[in-house]
Amino acid sequence: MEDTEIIDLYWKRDERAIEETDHKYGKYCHTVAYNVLGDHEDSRECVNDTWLRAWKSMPPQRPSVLRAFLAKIARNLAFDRYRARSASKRGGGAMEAVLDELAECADLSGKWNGEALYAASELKEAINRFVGELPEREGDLFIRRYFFAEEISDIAKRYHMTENNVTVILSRTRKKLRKYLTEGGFIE
Amino acid sequence: MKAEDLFEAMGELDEELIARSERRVRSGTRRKREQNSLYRFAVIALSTAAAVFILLMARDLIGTRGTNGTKGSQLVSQEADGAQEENALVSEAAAEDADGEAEGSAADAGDRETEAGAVMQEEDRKNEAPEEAQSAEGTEADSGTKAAGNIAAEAGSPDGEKQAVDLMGDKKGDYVSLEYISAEDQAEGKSTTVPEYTPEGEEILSRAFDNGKPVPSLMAKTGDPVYYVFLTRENGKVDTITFYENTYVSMDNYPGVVMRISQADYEDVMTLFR
Repeated sequence: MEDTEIIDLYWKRDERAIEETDHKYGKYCHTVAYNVLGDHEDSRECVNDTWLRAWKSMPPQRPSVLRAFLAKIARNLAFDRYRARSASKRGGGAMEAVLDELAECADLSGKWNGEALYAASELKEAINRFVGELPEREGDLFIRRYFFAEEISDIAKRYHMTENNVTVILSRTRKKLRKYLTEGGFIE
Repeated sequence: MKAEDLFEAMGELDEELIARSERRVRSGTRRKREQNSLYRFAVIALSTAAAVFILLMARDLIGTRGTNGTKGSQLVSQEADGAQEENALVSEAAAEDADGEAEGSAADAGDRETEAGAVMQEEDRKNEAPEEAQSAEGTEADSGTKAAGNIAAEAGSPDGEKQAVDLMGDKKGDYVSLEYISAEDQAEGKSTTVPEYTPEGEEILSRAFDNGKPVPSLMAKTGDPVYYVFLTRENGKVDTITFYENTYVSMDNYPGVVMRISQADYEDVMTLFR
């Protein structure tokens, strides 16, 4: 079924919408959640939560790209679930490494600009602009790693690159992001 | 700001950006798959072409060697046993009409005449037959060997091919008489005998020919292994045929004709000679 038809079902409050979504994007969303959680059971629950969130979001929303829309929900719900776990239970998927890497750009020993934090939506806009301005390959790698939390090895395979190459490109991009956030006043 | 906050903020990336990235990934994978398919196809095509080429080459080589080997073994066999071996009947017809009476085989006969110089023999039957038979002996032996060589090529499908009697039946209208001399008699310098066919012989041969036509003057009997038969045409030309019993032969003068003299045929033909 086409995405527009599925969205129409949501808008008609037809329960087949969830069935069709699960049929078409179930595995995909499971993968997105699993990248963050590293646990199949948690990921399955996360996917079910995703369908519920989608049901609540449509209407009023009418996503232009259903796949990305669902990926965002699944990813964010998975991350919420990840954070909700106790520290001892963490360690699933590539998340630990991803957060360590992002810490280079974010954890500045208390030098965080409180005003910028307050304007969280501005930060999101800034990141969108930053990713949008990156060269295609860099932007793609950045999204695979820091949105989908994919393993370096998987990214390397997906783009037919060596892991070292991916690691180097991501490192440069993080430095760019840090500079970008600094210039934007998000960090000092 | 903590890394987790940044990761959370990343979660609000524009859907279009995400979708664009995903599309690029998918198209890249598709391209790669297509390239792989193309590569696989090229490899398979080249491998197949190479295999076919090698097979053809091998077939040619094996075919050549196989044929040579068969011919060689035939020659060795023939030479070891002697060209005039028992239980063999080979025919060898010779000359074609000078007046164009001959069929499509004329060219072949002409070639053979040029090549061997003795396969086709034309002579006066009454006066020169013994000498002719004498001189023909060596030639016929060679021809027999040649014919035996052809056996190899033909032996695979003898059944259903023309039998000796059929061939004789086909050709009988071409001749007004037919003589015979055995190899032994010929070696001893004896004259050809000119036997008359018996009524029984004619009947048998007619039945064998399955056309009921009268048979021209026919050959005489012999128990010897090799039979030279001289068939005289109306214009006086004589075709010499060498018969070996129970073997398949192809007649050089009649391309494509394979004949086999079976024991039963032989018995039938022998009846004519009494």
